[in-house]
Amino acid sequence: MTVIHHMKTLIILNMIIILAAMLGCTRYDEKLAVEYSISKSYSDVNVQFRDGDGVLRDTIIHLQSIEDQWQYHFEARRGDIVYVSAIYFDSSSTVTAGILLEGKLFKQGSSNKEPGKYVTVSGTVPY
Amino acid sequence: MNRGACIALILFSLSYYACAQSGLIITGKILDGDELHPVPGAEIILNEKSVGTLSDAYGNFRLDGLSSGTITLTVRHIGYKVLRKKVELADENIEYLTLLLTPDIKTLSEFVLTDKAPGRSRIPGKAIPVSRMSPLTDGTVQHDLGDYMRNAANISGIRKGAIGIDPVIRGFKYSQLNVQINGGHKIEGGCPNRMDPATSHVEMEDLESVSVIKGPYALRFGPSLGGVISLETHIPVTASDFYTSVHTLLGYESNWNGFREHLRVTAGGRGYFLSITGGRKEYDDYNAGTGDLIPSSFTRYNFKLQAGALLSDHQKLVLSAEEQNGYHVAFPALPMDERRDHTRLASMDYSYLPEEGRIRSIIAKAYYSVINHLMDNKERPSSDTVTAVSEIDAVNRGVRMEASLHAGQGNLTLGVDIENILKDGQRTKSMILQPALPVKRESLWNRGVIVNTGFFTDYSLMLGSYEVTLAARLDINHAESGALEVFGGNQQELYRFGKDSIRSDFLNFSVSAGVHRMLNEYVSFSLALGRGVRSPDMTERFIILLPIGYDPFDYLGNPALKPETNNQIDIGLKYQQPQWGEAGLTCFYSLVENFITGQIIPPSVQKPLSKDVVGVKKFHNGGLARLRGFEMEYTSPGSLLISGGIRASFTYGTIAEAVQYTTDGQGDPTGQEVIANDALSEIPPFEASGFIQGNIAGGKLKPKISCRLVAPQNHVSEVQYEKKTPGFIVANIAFIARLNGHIEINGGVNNLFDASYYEHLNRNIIGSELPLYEPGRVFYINLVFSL
Repeated sequence: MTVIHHMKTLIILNMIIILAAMLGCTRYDEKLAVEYSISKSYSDVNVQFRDGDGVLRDTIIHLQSIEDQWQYHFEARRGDIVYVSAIYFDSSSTVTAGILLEGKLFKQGSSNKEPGKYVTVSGTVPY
Repeated sequence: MNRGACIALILFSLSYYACAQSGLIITGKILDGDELHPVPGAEIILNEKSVGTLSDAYGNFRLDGLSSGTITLTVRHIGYKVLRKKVELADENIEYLTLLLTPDIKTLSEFVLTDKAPGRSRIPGKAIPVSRMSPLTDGTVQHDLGDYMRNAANISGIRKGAIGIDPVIRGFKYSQLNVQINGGHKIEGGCPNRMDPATSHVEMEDLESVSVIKGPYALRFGPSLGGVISLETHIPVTASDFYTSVHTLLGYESNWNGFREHLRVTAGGRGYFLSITGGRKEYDDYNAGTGDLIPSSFTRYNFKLQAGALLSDHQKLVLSAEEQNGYHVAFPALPMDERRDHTRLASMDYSYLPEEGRIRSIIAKAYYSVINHLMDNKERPSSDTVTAVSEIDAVNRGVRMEASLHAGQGNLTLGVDIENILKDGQRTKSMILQPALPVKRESLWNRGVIVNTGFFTDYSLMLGSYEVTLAARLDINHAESGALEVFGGNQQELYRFGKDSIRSDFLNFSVSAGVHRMLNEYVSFSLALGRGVRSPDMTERFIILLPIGYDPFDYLGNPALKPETNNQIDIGLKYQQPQWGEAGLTCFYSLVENFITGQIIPPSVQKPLSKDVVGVKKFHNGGLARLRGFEMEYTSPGSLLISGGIRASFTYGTIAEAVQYTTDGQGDPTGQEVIANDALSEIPPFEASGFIQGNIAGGKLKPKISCRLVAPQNHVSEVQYEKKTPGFIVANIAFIARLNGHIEINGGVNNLFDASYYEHLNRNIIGSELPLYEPGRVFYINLVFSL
């Protein structure tokens, strides 16, 4: 009788562990690496972007050459909004703004000699 | 832990457990053979001796320490014929029995129409039309209650996605139906688009019975206009000795690659029980019969704890707490998908069931449900420019208490219930292509509150050969909300309902009467009359510009709405003969006053705010609506080697005067047009179904073929721009195999011929004229263990 009693206890504990494992299997909190990049510009560029905490931030960058690149890295959950916007005022400049997810290009936009025009790329991290 | 490992571990554990047991046990449930509700207090006697037990308040019983061999169980209960059953106890150490008691007409004068299972029986009397379903025993396992309920006569459902199918009973829907769990627990869905109707918050695997009480007759469980959907979930039992039990279900459905897992572990003993339940469902998109892939994936988890204790020989307390989570539920017919639904339910049930004295029972219940619902358009093309996220909090809490007394020749019930609903929600729009990422916030509800206090009574008695039931209910309904206003991006006021008018108070009186008479030994006649009144719901009163109907319109709530009243009559004829089976015909006629519906308002008065909509409708009282129809059914005795049944139902609905504005090219009103006797929208067409079932190896193997024929729906609403739909035929095959007392396998093929079809009530894919097709061919199998 004692053996059976112990066995029952074991089985029930076993079941509760399985139950917890079943309910714990979720991938929705998974985080992805996000990279904003600003490139191909010769002048000062005003950059606005949404960071990993959802805060809208502004910065002014100066790229030295067309090969030069500004990058910002953070982690985002699926469904989060990713947003980067760039504007320059030098009439001979250009700019390319991009968003990479896990190292792969997600969205990209550019402007060529269009001072005062925003280049905005944005979206939501796909599920 | 992956799914395969989980399943392997469960199987291993169960086989180990089965081998480890010793001693013979019989456990089971005593049910009313007519109404399938549990019978408490039935005597279960072993081998005609004095050894035995009584079924508990939920009809459950357990006999321990039995020897192998043939035994005879005798089951007795006043008001029922004595049942004797022989049981072979061999190498299986636990036998589970479901025993159906046949009501004894001769003794009914003392007990009929009394509540045979106080606290559990929800059936108001034999005069009232009721559809009953028992998902645990019929083998047609579905993953959505609304979908499952479509198997019953004159019950259909509104499909907007894979789950959350909204029941429609004889053309009544939404708040015209009173959905309640375990005798009074109510849930207010969080979604304004009704992604999560109350029925979607009950796990199918936990459900023991579904009773649909049609019409405004059952007044004990809240205001009832079109009917009551009474859901009974599993509640464990106490026993004379310590016991443990495990119940699991593993299911798979092809087509949408859907997995279901459900596990319940129970322990109980003298005067107490405790159970833990959990489950998971993961489904992908399905292919319709057309071959098109329909976005319909979803994931759901649930976890439930129940504990109960006998406070004395006659008093019981049951506590229950449950958490449900839904993730990434696709709704292709709606402008958004459900991203996350977090639901918490709690309830406390007290029952006092004395064996003698004037009081038959005292039952009290307190419940609480809170839903946090998050939905967005992030998987829709529109999110490339505007990302919209809506978050809604919905709370429903209440208490009810009733006392049932012996009064004269009959039974009198008196009670009170209080329900308090709170709803608040906001939509956040991010203009993600605009510099500086502007964000706009709009209220969907603005702290809406409804409090309903009801006082109810019913009385039932025998007058000669007539069974008579009378019921009445008085509701005091109060509602209020924050201002109904919408602002544009520059804080320009786009819409505002007068602040002083956002409060309403109503006093509603409902009454019903029913009579049932046996015309001869086999034929009975029933008549029911009722007048049910319900106050407008939260959406009808306070929703602020959101597309919630089947049509592409933004809807506006109307705090000045008046209550809706249903005056209905049901006439039924039933034939019940043990050798020939059971046949029934019920006809109904319903006259609804102040019918609540949407009415188009001109663009010059209010423009829509949502994408993919063409205008705005405001709720209003649309005058008189009429619904009439019938249900007929025949079922042969289930004990035959081959049994079968047929069923047919029809509802026809019209509205006396449907009004719509006429406008000029600028959208300014030029007048109004009245259409007499326009069709009511969202009424299902005529349908008929039939089945043939085998009963092989003493009921251990039951193969089944069924077919459903649905006629085209050509009677559609002109004012609501409703579309006609074609008819269709669908065939299914299924089987149930009970291998032994522990293992059942059921499975089959739904939509055997991969028909391409959609129901009349299925919504269109949002932003298109394409209907949402039903799934194509689905192979399914379920493995059920009970130890």
